[in-house]
Amino acid sequence: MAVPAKPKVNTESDRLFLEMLYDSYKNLMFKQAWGYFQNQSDVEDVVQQSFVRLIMYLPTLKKLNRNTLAVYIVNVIRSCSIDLCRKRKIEKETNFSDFFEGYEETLEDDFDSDYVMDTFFSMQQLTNAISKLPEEDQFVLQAKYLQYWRDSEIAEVLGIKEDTVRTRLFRAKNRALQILAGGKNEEE
Amino acid sequence: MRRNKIKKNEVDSLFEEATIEAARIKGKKLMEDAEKVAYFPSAEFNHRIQSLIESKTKKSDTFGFFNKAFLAYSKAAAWILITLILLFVSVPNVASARNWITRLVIDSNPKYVTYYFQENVIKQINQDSTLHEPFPEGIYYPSYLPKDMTLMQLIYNRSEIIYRYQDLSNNTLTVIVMGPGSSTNLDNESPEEKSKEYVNGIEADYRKKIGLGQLTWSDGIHVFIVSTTLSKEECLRIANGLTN
Repeated sequence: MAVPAKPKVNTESDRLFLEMLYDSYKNLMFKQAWGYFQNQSDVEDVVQQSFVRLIMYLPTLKKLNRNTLAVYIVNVIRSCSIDLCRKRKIEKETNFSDFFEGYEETLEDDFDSDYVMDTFFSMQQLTNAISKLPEEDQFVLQAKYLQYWRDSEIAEVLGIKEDTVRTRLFRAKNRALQILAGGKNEEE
Repeated sequence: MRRNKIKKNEVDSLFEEATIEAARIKGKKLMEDAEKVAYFPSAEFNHRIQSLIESKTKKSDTFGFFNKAFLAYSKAAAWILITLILLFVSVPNVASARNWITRLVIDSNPKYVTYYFQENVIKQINQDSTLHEPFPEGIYYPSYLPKDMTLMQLIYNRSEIIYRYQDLSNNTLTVIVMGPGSSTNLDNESPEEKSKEYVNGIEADYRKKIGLGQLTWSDGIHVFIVSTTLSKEECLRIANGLTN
């Protein structure tokens, strides 16, 4: 995965922040890593690699609140796990099948997103719709809007082309609007 | 609850906001789930993470050295610059300031010149003079001066010394003391007044012409001339006050 330019990490406050980050989120990191791997060594490798990567994103991390930071960390753990699996060719033992090609076909091709965008809906409804999206769609949206990763970074994590990233992002949004439209239809 | 008609160009910002909000909700659940089970990494792993943090947050010694060197250099350069500026500003002004103060004191106190001669410290008052050393001991100066008489010019050139004074009424006074071997010519042409006077027991010649009185005498070594527009009595007082 492409990593951002090395940030300036050299202050006492950064050191304290990183120590707090590890203390507060190590349970979450290990829990996620144990979800992908079955041995202590791999889990620790992934957590350590994730921590190194988190340091690279330190300026962004410092701006996030406690809960969104948790999602950020989970996504980084996932990215590092995918990386490690690719390196060790143990894809079959992991749960990343969602991230590979093929799931876009679930989108209704005749869905009119313009219609939904021209109607009224609340932010809460859109948030709920995004929460109901498949994990891979949420990942793409979060990578784009929460983690501010470039398309090339997302493409590298998912092992797809940059154009495909844009397609997935577009389809993830459409799916959210589709859920939104479905919800509104049910309300009506 | 906020309801807006959605425009296509606002979709991105809406999705960003909604994604972050969805992430916040999801993150809260993730944290709650994670806190249910405690994971205890090995001491060795904790140590690795701690070392990682230390290594990433430790300031580079190399850069630290250069930073310190640069800082020291900057401080030194700043001090040198300040010192040079102070020198350039103050040194030329020391002389002019001294001259200005001297002139101020002399102007405000006509007898100040007496002090100068007594203390033998003044080097040069008149810029026309080429003297660059203190007056020698025994030089003559007027110990008495009429009120408000101000020294306007002082010329000293080893063989003679000339004091020129002026008061607020434009009365002038010139005192000339010429050294050994000097001589002077007396103007005998139709003086308005002419008389013999005594200055400290020495016979002196006083003559007045066109309002200007001149007293001339010699002690055998020096020739003294006191010229003034003031009265003869005042001229004699000044002459009697001439001392060394």
